[in-house]
Amino acid sequence: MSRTEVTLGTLMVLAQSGDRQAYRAVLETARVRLIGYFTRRLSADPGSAEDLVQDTLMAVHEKRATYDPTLPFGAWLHGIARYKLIDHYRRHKRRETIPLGEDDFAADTDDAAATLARIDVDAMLARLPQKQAAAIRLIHLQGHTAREAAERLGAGESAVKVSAHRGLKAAAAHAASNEEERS
Amino acid sequence: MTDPIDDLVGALEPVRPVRPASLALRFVFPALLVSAAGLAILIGMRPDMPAALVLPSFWIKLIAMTAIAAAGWFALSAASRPGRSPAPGLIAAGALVILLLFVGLANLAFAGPGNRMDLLMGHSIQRCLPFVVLTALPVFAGSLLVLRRMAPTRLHLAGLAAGLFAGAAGAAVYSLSCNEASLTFLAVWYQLALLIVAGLGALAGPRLLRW
Repeated sequence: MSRTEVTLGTLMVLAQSGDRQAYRAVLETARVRLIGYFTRRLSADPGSAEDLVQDTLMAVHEKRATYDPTLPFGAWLHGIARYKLIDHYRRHKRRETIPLGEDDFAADTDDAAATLARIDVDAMLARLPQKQAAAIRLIHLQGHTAREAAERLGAGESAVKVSAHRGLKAAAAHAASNEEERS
Repeated sequence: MTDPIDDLVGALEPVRPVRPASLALRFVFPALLVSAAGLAILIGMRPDMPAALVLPSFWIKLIAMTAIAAAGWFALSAASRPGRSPAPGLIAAGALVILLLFVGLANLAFAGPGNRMDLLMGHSIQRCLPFVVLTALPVFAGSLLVLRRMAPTRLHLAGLAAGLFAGAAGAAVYSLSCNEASLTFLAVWYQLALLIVAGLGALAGPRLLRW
């Protein structure tokens, strides 16, 4: 057993007897290791990895009486982490058998992409004159016809069309110059 | 957002370390007594009881089943703790089962052709199989209680170990009521019964032991 493991094992025994300082040290070390363990295995799903770190810390707490000081603490912790990971896979699989289908996942990612795009668009529109931005929002983002947009804005139909058109051109120019700055 | 570690540290109470052996005293030992009492009430001890104590066949059955139960307990005890492997205990139990099967088959091979059917079939299969399983059930339940208070992390293997232990312990108890003298009978029917319990344990493990 390495020295760290011996130290951790001793700290865990102290924690079993109610020593809070020792317990905190054990949990902090455990958390660092668990974050590494779960993020490596669930790199595509950081949310679950984070949940599993918490779950495993809870399990360590609940099952702390089962730690046996003749075993390395790391082996004990790893056993619990592995169990939580397998349990996660099992639950995940069960959910997938309910016909949730790939479409829903596709919809999720589409939503995410749309959200990201919306953020970009908002930033872009903020740089345009208010009239142009409002016209683009109504016609191109919310899907109104030019006449509906004109009614809402209290302007002529052709004026609104022109505003939207100019706004898009300006935005495209901004985007292009941004791109140049970056490269 | 509060740090969950703060919550856990705040909730820390001293605990007494738990060991499977001390839990066995609370859960498995009473279960064995229930099994023995149930068997005594339902079918009684073998009729030739005091005299049977000098028969080798009586002791061979009891010792062989106790040995498998010991290996099964060793596996269960390891399976109950994260970071320990039940493999050595399971392999030992499996090796004992196979060894006994070979002995039983050798016994059959060396017997005269006229005796073979008797050696294999005995006279009480229909009693042996259900009663070994029945006798194993309380012990199996007790073993599950031990595991649930520990922290098994490989649930199929933990269930298998519990089933092997309970099946063999049940068979050891049942042997007190059984006057079959054939090694082949022991190797085939006792072991079939204990493997049924082991199989059930392995299948039900994940469902019964999840935490």
